Amino acid sequence: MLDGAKITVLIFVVVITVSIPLGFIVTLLGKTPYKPVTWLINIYITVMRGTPLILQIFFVYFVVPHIPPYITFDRINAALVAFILNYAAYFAEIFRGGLLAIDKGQSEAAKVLGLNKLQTYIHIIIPQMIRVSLPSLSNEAITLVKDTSLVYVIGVAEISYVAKTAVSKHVSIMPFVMAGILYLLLILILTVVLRLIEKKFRYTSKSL
Amino acid sequence: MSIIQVSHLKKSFGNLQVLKDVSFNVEKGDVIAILGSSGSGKSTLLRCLIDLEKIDDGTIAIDGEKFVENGKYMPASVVKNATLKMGMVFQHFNLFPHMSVIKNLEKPVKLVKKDININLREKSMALLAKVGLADKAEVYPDSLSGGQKQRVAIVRALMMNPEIMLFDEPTSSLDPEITKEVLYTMKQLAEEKMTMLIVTHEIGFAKEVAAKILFMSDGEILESGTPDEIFNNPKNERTKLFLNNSY
Ligand SMILES: Nc1ncnc2c1ncn2[C@@H]1O[C@H](COP(=O)(O)OP(=O)(O)OP(=O)(O)O)[C@@H](O)[C@H]1O
Ligand SMILES: [Mg+2]
Repeated sequence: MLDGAKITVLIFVVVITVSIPLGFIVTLLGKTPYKPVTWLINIYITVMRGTPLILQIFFVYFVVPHIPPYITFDRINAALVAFILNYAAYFAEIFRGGLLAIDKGQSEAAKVLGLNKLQTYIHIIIPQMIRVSLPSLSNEAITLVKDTSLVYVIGVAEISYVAKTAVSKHVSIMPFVMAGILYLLLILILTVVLRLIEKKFRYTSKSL
Repeated sequence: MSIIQVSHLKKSFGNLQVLKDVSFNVEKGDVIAILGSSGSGKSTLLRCLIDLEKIDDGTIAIDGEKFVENGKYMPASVVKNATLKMGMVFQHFNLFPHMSVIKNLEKPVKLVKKDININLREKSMALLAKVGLADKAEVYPDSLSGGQKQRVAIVRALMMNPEIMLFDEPTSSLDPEITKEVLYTMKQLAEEKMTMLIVTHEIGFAKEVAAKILFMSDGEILESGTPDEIFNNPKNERTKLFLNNSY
């Protein structure tokens, strides 16, 4: 069961660390003035949000190897690719909303002070975007922990998969209970971490 | 030589011509109040001066340096060099909410000025003290009143050592009581001979502090002159009408 938990955590960590930056890049690409690029981005986001994740996992694992350029993934990599593509789309939408929430006056103030576009993004826009997006990001992160159980459909031995195998083998429902407790624990830890991060980004005066 | 020279400036948004052939000069150290009814193009004029809007035609020179000539913009570095001689204060302050007051003041300087050979902290604290906010250095903007925010915004602009300050209705979102604090700070600046262009509805303040009034109507400078000329002897009917309604 603990090996299963390791896989669950591994999937979570890899997906979060890759799909958040990727999602942000998707957001930026969606804002370029080049129409073909924004169309592609829109199609990508629509497909990712409009089809079930489980189908996307199947697609990457079973279909992608049969279409050019014939890339084959082992189970875990297929799962990771599907999750990353899926979550990046959701994160991209969250960031897009976050950017829209930032007043235009912020970049204007930065401009008249002489900051260039890159400095404005790095020092003014992104920190505020993260703050605005954090509650939604947290929700997605917690959903992700539970979503990882979907990868059992292609036989990746994460918590749920291990639990189900153990249930059949020992004819006891205890493994399911333990699996539930493990998920709860993981989410509890994650919640604490997210709280700390949110606190760090809450910019109200600490003293006075 | 005038520190600001604007000639035949034209600016449209789509089909709407917002500035129609605007020309004027500003002398160094002068305080200019820009009055006019809503939608007459006052904000747009300031925004064009500091390159927040691109003009369609005309010439703007700051401190003798043309950054746009007959509607054609110079290379970005020239534009930036010219516009950096100006600081701007907005109606809604636009402080950076994720930075403390002191960081709002110092971060832009650190990012923009390559060689900071002065003691930055000394400078920021001295300016804060001057506007009566030395004790607010470490707080975040959300715990400041509107008047305090606007004074911080003024200091933030001053940190870049501008030669000219542009104000777009700096007190319009403030309570009358609090308006005084901000006007006081602006008056101090005027006494130090800062060149200032102020879009304002504070007629009393304009009368008292401004060397010259520009009265705008419908995208044009309808009338310009000393406060005495404008207020006591307006030549144009529309100026009269506006002033009568403003009292
Ligand atoms: N970005 C824009 N796009 C389209 N129209 C604009 C834009 N900015 C301003 N306008 C229009 O230009 C005209 C002049 O606007 P401007 O903000 O310069 O007026 P103002 O004199 O500052 O008015 P107020 O006293 O209400 O601030 C208005 O009709 C306004 O609707
Ligand atoms: Mg205006």
